[in-house]
Amino acid sequence: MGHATYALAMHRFANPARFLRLAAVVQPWAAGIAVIGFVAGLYWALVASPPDYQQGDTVRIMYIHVPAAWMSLFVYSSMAVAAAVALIWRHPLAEVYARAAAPLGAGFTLVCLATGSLWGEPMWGTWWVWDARLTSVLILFFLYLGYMALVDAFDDPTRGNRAGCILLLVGAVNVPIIKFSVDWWNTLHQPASVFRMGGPTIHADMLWPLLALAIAFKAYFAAVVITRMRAELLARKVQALRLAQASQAAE
Amino acid sequence: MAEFFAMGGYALYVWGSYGIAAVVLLGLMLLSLSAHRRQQRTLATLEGIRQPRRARRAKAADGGSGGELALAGAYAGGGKGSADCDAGGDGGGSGGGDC
Repeated sequence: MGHATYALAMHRFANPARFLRLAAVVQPWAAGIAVIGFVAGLYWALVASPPDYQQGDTVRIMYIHVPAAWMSLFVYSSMAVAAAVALIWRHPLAEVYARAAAPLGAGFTLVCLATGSLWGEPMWGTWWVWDARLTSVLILFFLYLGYMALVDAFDDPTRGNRAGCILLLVGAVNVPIIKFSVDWWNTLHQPASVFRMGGPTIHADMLWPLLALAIAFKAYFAAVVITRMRAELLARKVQALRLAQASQAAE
Repeated sequence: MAEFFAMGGYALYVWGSYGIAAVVLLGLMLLSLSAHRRQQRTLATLEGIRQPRRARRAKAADGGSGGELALAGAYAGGGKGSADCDAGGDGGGSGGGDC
């Protein structure tokens, strides 16, 4: 696809009317998949799957911790892509997406950190350790919070969004650092056991709840981020109407 | 059943993890839904105020489509300067050619 065609394809989604039509189709499916995923995933995670032979029942924390960690990286990466699209093509929906996704990404990162801590205490003997993986995920959490504070710190929302996009792109360097921290440095955190060369090293009984909840988390994100984007588009419409009324009143 | 809730002695850690995840995910979902409803209500109120004005202007200008255009413009907006365009389109009856 040539650059012009690609830009054209991007701009088809720039039109909120088109986006809203697409969102209306996608959202019920995402919500339905999330509900099914959570019901099946929670049943497998809490009831059907066996305790680990070393970790006992604490292994069930994994079914929340790992999907939350995947989502924390996925959401940030998607926001960084949106930031690039916003800066290069001035695509208005890209900024709407980044703003809508940020609190959800921060929420996933918080869940990842909290469940990791609750898993670390009984298994490692500590709630927290300043090693490469944990520290880089904590930085990710602060990047989300920093972005959310920055976009609202300017009187002119255009400047706020621009500054936020630049922060997202600079912070993107943290994503591969998180991913490879367990290989590059000696850390207490274990290396990847699902997405690795040579296939997963995790037993199928434990892979199913993990995948079901991973799908549920992603579908939940899709459904909620669409609601947030709709709210953001409505907020912009409200703002435009208020400006129009103010200018009418001034006439 | 008691055995299920005991989680092999790790009840606090396991249920704590699932509890935190539930609180964060449900909380964010409810906040998002209520923010969406709030914007919908604000918009309905604003358009309720606008309705009579638009009708009046439409009668005066005998053109009537200015309001619709402004609404479409507001929706397509979001980018820099769109507010100016909306204001211009809105004042269509009184000749606002800002954009």
